[in-house]
Amino acid sequence: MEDRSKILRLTLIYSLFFVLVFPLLVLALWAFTGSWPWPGLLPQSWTLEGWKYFLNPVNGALEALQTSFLIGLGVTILALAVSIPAGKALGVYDFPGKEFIKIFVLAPIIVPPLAVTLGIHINFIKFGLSDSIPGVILVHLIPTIPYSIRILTNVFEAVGNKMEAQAQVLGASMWQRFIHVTLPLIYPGILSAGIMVFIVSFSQYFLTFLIGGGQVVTFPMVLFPLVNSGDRMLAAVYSLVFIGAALFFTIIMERLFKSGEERSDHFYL
Amino acid sequence: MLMWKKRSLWEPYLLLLPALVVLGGLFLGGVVLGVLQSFGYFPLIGLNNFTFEYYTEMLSSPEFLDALGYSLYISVVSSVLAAVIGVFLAYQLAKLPKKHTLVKLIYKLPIVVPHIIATLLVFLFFTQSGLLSRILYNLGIIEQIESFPALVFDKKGIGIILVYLWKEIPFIALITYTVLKHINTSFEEVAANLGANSRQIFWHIYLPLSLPSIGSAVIIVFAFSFGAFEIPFLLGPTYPKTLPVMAYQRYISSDLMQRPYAMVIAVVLTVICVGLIYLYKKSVDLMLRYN
Amino acid sequence: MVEIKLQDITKEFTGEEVIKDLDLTVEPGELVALLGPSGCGKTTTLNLIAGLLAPEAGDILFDGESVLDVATETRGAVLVFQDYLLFPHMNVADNIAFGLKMRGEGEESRKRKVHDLLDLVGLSGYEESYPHNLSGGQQQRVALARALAINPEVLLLDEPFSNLDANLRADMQKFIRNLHLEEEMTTIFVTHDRDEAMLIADRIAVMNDGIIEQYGTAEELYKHPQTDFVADFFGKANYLQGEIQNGEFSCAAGDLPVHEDLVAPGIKIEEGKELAVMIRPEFIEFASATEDDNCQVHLEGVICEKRFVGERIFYEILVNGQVLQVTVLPPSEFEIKEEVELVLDVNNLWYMEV
Repeated sequence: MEDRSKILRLTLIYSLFFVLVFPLLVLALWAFTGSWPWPGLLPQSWTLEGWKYFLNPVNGALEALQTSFLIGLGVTILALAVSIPAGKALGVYDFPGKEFIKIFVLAPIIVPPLAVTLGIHINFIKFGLSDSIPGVILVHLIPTIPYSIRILTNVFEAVGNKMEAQAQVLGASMWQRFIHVTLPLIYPGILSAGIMVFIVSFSQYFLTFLIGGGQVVTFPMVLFPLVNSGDRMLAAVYSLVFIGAALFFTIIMERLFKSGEERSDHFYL
Repeated sequence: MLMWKKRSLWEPYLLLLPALVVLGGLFLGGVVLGVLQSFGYFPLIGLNNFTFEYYTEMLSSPEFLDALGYSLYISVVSSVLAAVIGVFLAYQLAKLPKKHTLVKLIYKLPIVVPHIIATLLVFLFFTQSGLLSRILYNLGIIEQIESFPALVFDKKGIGIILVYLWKEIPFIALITYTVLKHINTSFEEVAANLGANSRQIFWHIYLPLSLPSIGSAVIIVFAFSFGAFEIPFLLGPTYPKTLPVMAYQRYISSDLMQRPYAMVIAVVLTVICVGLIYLYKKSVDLMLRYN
Repeated sequence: MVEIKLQDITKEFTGEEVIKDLDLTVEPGELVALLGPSGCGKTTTLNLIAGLLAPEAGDILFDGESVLDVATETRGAVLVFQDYLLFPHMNVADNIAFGLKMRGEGEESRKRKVHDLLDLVGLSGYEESYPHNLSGGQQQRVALARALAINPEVLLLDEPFSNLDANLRADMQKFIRNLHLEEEMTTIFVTHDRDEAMLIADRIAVMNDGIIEQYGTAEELYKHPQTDFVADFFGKANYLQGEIQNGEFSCAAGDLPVHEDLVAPGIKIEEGKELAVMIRPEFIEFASATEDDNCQVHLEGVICEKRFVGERIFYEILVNGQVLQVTVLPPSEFEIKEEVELVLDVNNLWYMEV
């Protein structure tokens, strides 16, 4: 009886797992497919055409990838700059209106960005922000800031402000406390918030499309028509690059900033 | 006297100021401008008078009502299914012995894959020439490509729902799994000691304790699918549309007089989601009560 | 060395007064304990002195000058927190040198000071260790060294011994007492442990519910408490109620002598005044045939309860219908129902308001 339910559980879990992961393998297959007519179960011929097309600068894919990275980094820096102080306020202090503000800063996760951006688009045009990279960076802040504030609020709740108080009685000024104590303590939180913000910005299609007005060409802007037109091989190549780039960024960030074996897991005492 | 004492009173607001300026300007600004335009205040194209005209016209049009129904149908079906399957998956994962670390790592992969790519996956599998139809042919279940049912661009929204399920089941599972892991296992021991079997333990201990977190995750998932543009745009039928697609198409129309109608739809989306925020707040409050 | 003076300090949290009109003077170089149950406001008082909190009313003076406008970081009062709060991302040397570095002191002199301080706290060679590799006692000594590094004029310790086990606690108590004497600081520490306060402090301020109940030496507080709270905080006590009749205190157990030295401040001895006399159980002895002293009070009673707890024996003795608790050292063998004669020194009677 016990054994049967265990086997059942493993079967179920692995089949569900298969459903979630197998499609990505098929995607990888398509990226190298020359022709794959119905009803064949495997491609008839293989090709690297898609990859050559992707790498050819004439087609603008690499440039779009670069633009995406640039915008993602800009959004990450800006979002962190406003979220670190906000996270501290919400995580450490008690003050009137805190509950309301907590909900307000999370609202953009729930209220669709589309609904909000249609309304504000006209002002972006008025202030010359539409069709430009700064405008796109600005509009990407709407869906990203809620995540970074949320993550950093949790981190500040865990860290508290006692360490800062200790530094203060030892004679550290406000900036010294921030640089020498707070920043090193919330470092892991900044890292995960930064990665989250980057990925959300990196995956953004509609906001870029609307505010960028077709002038700001990010990677999703190149991918979207491929998916729509049904060029499966090329779409698969671009998708793999997309997933690869996102994973690459995540891993680089972790490698770059999580070095130092001594600061392993003792941050949240 | 006591400059710094006063400062410490203002400090949290000062710290929040940049975030509130950015979100207030962009998010709240967008909402307010959308509302103004939906009431027909749009000086740029010579509309200066407040009117309910656009609301009455839009809210009574069959196209709008069908879109509203279609959007709600897709979001409800996909969120409910994602919740049930995701919670089941999380519970099974939590019961899984430690050695299956790869499973616990890889099930999260769909969370980081963008929706556009998930859409492509549905194209690869569920179109009439897709992999599923090929498998069915090779098994002798269908005879020709036309006998495979239309699962994309269909009025039942199956393709759209599949994308959401593929993305959201792991998301719900991740959130639920995290909560389950943090529930003190001695509750289970106490319950078992009092004679509860494993099914009863799930229904009476784990599910109630994790319900608020599951609830807030489902609300996020529901709101996302309700307000998303790309997926229904790529996978949906020409009629009915979802609300975001309809709003967008009205918005980019060369006839600028269509703009206020687009804003009415945007406001409807916003109002429904503000209602969801209320539910979200309720479930978060519950969550805090358990901690 | 600094004199610390708190004048009429009031502190509120969300409208509720947690410190009420508190006055306290700590002499230069004195070691004072703030003693009281949890929630009595003692840690808040410490935070007020350090400048981490600001009072709603009143003033805090260091050597006669108000420090309310002096920012925490320049006030020169270093607080060592209950949980030590060593910076987890710095090694021991960097932790200790933190305050010096913030002042811009050079690396050479920082290194020298760290070395000397580690020597002082007995942790030489631990420069490169990280806090999470240290035991609780070691962490506390690093926290102390870190505080001492900037030569504070005022050292504030919040429950410094509560996280240590019993053996270590005794060592650290002695260590801090010696440190205080060597370093010439004014030191205030917070504790809820009466024995600890009595053992280390020059004077003890007993706090309860946001006020100081009594401020004095351990002996004063033990023998001559001014309130029931203080009397009970410093051990067991018998209370007998009665009134002044014919210049003597008349109660159920008998007539007892009374004069001005035996009465809490503010009480006038006058005919008919109702008072309570407090007698500590350990001050009552069994009479032996040999001694006879006219400074002593004699009472007669019957033993009605006896409890043997190792180093002492608790008796309950019925004296004229009044139960008295008596604690004596063994061997003193009396049995239940035995009639006994009790003596106690007149100077150990203490009269308080009813």
